[in-house]
Amino acid sequence: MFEEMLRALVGRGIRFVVVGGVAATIHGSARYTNDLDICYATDPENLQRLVELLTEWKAYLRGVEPGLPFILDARTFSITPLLTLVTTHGDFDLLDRVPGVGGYDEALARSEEAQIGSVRFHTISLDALIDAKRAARRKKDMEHLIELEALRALRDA
Amino acid sequence: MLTLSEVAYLADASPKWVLNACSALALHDPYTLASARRLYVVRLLQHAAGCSLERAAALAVRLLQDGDESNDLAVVSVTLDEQATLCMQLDVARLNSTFAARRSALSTTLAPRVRGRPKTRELEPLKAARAWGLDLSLLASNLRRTPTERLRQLDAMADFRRRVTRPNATL
Repeated sequence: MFEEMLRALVGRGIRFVVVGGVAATIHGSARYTNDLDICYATDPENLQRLVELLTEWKAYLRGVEPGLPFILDARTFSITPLLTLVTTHGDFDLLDRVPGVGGYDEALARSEEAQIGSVRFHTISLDALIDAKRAARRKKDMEHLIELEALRALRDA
Repeated sequence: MLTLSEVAYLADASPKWVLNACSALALHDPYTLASARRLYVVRLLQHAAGCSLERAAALAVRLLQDGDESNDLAVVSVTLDEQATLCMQLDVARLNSTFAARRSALSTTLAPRVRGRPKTRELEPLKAARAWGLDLSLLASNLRRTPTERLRQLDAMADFRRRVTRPNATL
């Protein structure tokens, strides 16, 4: 599922950095995640590519009742920079900014290259992921933060 | 029933603005989706037309009534002074889409935040992990895998979850 989603994103030339649970998994987290989270570049060309892909994937808003009006275009991204979607390929969260890190350029600067099969993409570094969790300060992230910091300590030992 | 912070998020406003608006407009049932939507439009109109809260609220009621009937564009005129009238067009379809997207983000991603200042003195990470009851051997085992192997494992877990069934389960 995630490999397929990443292959499609890279294949379309979409500029993004993987963040969230999948990034944590790449760094060694044992927690399961259901969705792919990305921080995306907000230039018009990149937004248009995202819109085309999401339209093909029949993207709809996650967590609300079906049938609500949902306009999927570049303007939606500028008005609602955090989109939490369900698609034919899986659950997909798109952010223009990562708390504690910044926008796409900052996330890219604090990312590492990862690969699955022939697909190469950027994923946020473990240090940046920890900073993001600390900045978000959501109760549900507190346990995850403990795990990520332990991972960093084990990695650096 | 929503909380104050949830209404504030949906209205794209601060909790303080929401409280002030509810008080000024004498909203009796402010913590509902309908009220949150109305407050969202009020805030938009205040910001766009620079009109007072009460004026924006009256316009919002009219716009939402007109717009819900047509689900298209709703038009309203705002008299600024003796010489000027501002005509505004509200893209109701866009507004409803944006509001729905905010509802989606609220129900899936946004969550209660830890209150208070972060602790200044924290346990060393591995001690904190053991104290929390985390299985460090699991983490060590994951670190011995390559990033690609970790991602494939996650994909395999996702695939397993999709395929596994519980024939006798009622939920």
